[in-house]
Amino acid sequence: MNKILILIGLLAFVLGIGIARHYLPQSSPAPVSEADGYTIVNVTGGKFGGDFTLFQGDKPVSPSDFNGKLVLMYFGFASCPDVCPTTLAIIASALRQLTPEELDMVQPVFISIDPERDRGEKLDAYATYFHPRFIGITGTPDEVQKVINQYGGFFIKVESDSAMGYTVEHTSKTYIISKDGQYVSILPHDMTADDLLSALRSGL
Amino acid sequence: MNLFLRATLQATLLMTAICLFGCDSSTEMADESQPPPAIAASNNAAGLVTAEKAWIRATAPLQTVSGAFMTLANNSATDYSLDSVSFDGASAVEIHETSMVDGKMRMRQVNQIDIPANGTAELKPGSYHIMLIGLEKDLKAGTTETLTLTFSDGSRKTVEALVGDSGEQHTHE
Repeated sequence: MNKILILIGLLAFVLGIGIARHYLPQSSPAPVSEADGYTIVNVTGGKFGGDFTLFQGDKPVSPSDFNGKLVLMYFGFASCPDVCPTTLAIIASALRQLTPEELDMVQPVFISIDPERDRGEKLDAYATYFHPRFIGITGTPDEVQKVINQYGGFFIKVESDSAMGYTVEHTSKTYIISKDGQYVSILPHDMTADDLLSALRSGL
Repeated sequence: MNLFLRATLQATLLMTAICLFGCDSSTEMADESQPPPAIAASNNAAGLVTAEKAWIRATAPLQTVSGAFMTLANNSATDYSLDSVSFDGASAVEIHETSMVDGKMRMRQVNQIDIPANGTAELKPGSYHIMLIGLEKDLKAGTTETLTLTFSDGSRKTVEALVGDSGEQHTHE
């Protein structure tokens, strides 16, 4: 009897580790450089960053599609009244300060972590409202969770008594993937447009 | 003479009754239309709490939620709280608080926002805000919308809020 209990305990432990590995974000690797307001890290195969595929409507989109350009990524959701629009407005403000030639070399991508509500037309309309160069992409909740984990972040759907039904708690970082896809600049949620502008210009 | 006295008494009673009724209704409607003067006209929260820099975040197309922000200043020695808000054109209005917990953005519904005596309560991005849910139309930057605040003493105040362009003009303040 005791042996069975121990076995069940062991199984639960192993299962727990498996679940934790699946859901917990990967920690960021040691930074290559830490400039004012942002950190640059190496993409390390299977451990941090790298390519992925999500969808703009039905169309698959991967960062590698924009090879040769900087890919600017932010994870958020359209029903977020506060932090997401504030960050998206800061991103838009930095993008507007780029010259047209510089802007041509940047692909801003908004990744929805709320695919149940942010689908198709709504997602693109939301993203382009902030800046016309934005594209909005998403996938299944599992697919998006995997991608945000890959970049050291995570989100969790939280049921509430609110008339909103549920909300999504999430990390709020901005990422810039280098032109060659080898480096990622990470900016904190309280970045300024100037921080982002200098991170973009140093990558161009 | 008796008759005259009785008539006077009746008239006085009648006048008192009218005054009472009149006074009552004037406290009910106080400060809805008139901004409070230097010395607040009435003794309720609606008269003693001012709402400054009220703005509502303009909505992106198809976005049906938004946040409203303002600074509430309590110019009295009594603690009050903002208990509820109504807005025509939203199916529900709630008070929420956003916070960063362990690097993660969290949003929670709260029952009220305290406005301490002689203090202020800030409703701003990344903190407390009024959540407008189920908006029937887009809120366009540059327009003005009306919010009705209800305070802990039951008094109400209408506030004109400027619809702003996704907070950009506010984040750099």
